[in-house]
Amino acid sequence: MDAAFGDALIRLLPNLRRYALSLCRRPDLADDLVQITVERAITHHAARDPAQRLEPWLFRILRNAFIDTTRRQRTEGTRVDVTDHPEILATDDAPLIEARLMLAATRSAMTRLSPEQEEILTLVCIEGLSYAEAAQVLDVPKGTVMSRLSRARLALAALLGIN
Amino acid sequence: MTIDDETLMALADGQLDPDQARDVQARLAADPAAQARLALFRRTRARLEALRDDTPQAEPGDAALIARIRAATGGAAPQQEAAGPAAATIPPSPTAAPPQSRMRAANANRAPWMALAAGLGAVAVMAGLALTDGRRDGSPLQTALAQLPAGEGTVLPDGTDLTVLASFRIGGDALCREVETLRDDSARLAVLCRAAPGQPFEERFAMDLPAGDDYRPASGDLEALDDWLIQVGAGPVLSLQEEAPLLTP
Repeated sequence: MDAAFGDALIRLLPNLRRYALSLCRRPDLADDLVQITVERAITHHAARDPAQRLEPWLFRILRNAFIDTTRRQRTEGTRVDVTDHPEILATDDAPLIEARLMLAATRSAMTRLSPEQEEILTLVCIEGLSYAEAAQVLDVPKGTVMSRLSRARLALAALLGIN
Repeated sequence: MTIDDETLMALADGQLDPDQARDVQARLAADPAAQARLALFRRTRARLEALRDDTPQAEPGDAALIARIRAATGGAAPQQEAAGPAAATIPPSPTAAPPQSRMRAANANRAPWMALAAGLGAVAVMAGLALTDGRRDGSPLQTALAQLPAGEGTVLPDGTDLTVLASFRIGGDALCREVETLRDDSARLAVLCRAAPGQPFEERFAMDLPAGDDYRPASGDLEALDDWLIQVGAGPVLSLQEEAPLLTP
């Protein structure tokens, strides 16, 4: 196995954790999912199509791990808002406060969307997957990605007061 | 006929093929309602992209995982991503943001439009896309450059679709804005700078965007820009937090 693959995997750890958090919203579970994903990625590295980007391949592994886990647990556990950051007010610089508040508002709005909407927004708008790649991760047709994503964007815009 | 939401969203996300994009572009110029919808899809995307840039790059718990990956993939590099305990779940403060390379940040915003540029064919030479015509203060271009945060875009009255990719400083206080423009068949990357607030932005660098069937942003594809940035001593890409106070509300 090559070191470049390892480098890419390490570089994507924050992305994997972010996607895991959007799925389970629990930091402890998210860490577990990332760990499972890394192990499976190492094990199945040889089976990967090198022509395909690494991101969708890893996200799909992580998503399957999440489905496995929840199937086994039969319970979602307590959902916590991991995005509560009161320290945003710990500065007296007005533009900075405003920028921090905007980030906090976006995070908060994301947790108020349905898990399905939060997931599609994470994959496409935060992680930068194409519609086709997102369809592959979610195992749904591209048309479904588009309708789901468009509804999610409108819902997010409404929560954020964007019109 | 009005343009439906999914098409506008796909345009905002750079997911239309070049023919479709041109077609929608042409119809947009005469449809203010559709322009507003397009702005909504762009702004939601920009808000989410800001979250991406704000995420901590590594967590303390990653050290064991990184060691595991290194061991399995034969990499010899020692721990290089260790983060302090304080980095656990708290986003870095704006002033202590993790160093991000200029091209990484710029490419994050570029991605949607580069996909659109794909397949347009290598545009070897082209005229200035009216960017240089808009030098006078108060023109729509100047207003857009002074106001739009990185990641957002607008359609100028002449039909040029402009997206601001990034902001950075050169030579002390001068503010530069890296933009991508799309008009008719041509996609173009430009850097416009102003010496001080209130002064007009002037074009300092421009290149036609490369094309390919499956374009993926990579620093190697923008060598001319990289060379120019090094040559003029461009500073790092400003975060949205750093950029905000420099823009006109």
